[in-house]
Amino acid sequence: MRRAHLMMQLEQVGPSGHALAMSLLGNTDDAADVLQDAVATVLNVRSFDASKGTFKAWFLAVVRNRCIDVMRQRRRRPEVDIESVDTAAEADDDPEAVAASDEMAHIVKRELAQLSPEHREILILREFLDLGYAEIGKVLDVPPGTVMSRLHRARSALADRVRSYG
Amino acid sequence: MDDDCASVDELLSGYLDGELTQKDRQRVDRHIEGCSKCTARLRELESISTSVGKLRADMNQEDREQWRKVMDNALERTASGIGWVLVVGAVFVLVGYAGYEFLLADVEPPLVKWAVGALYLGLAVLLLSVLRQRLKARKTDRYKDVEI
Repeated sequence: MRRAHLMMQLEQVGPSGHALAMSLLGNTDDAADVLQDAVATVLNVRSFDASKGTFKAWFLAVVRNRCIDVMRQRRRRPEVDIESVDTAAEADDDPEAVAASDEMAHIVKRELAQLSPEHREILILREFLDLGYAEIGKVLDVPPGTVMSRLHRARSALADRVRSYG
Repeated sequence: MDDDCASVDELLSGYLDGELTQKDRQRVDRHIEGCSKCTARLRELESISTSVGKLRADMNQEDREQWRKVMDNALERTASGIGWVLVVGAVFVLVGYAGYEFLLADVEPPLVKWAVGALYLGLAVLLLSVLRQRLKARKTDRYKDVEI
């Protein structure tokens, strides 16, 4: 019963875990390994302690810790595979605007992949996974004030890089 | 950037995300009304936030597909594990029963009985050896010290 409930919760948060693992590790095989470990960890706990925050934040924290462990053990700089993802163009938009939008999306993807893991992960947590500052704080184990300043630095760093394209 | 702009700049991400206190939000509102530089900066951060957010749709699709693969693998492993437990359990029961019957039976010459006994003992030793190796590997699991 408990396992079935955990599996239902995992179904909801799993793709978010994959997005975070991909942003930190950069390839699908490593991300899949980390997720399998994280799922095993979650299924092995006796019960989820709701006082630690939401299940999603807790699961993402487990995934993040696994990623850090893999990064430390393999001692390599994470490379993000985000470049391989195409951005869908809206067919009914003006072709020139679509072309400009594609170009912008391509630049943002490329530069996002070049950011430090610290900046990349907080942007993924906020912009991709829509987590609030309190939840991000739970995942990263930092106070919300630190989340705000770190997120601001991450956005600024990405803006600086994108601005360099003119 | 003067001191006021610098202190407001630190709040702009929180302003965009609606995470500021009412007091800080009003402070930013008042400042950007009269500061074109900070208004431009706010628009720039908003544009970056929107651009990163636009990548999300395709990432979500890929993440869902990869997650499905992970879960399918987990289910396959579980099913395979259950299958192995049943097979091994049945083999143990059958082999145990056969051994018991063999011990009670009159077998000539007695050397055959000793040989079969040695075979059983050898298999038991091999099994214990494998179990010991597995337990040792489990204790040295590289993930055991990772905090949850």
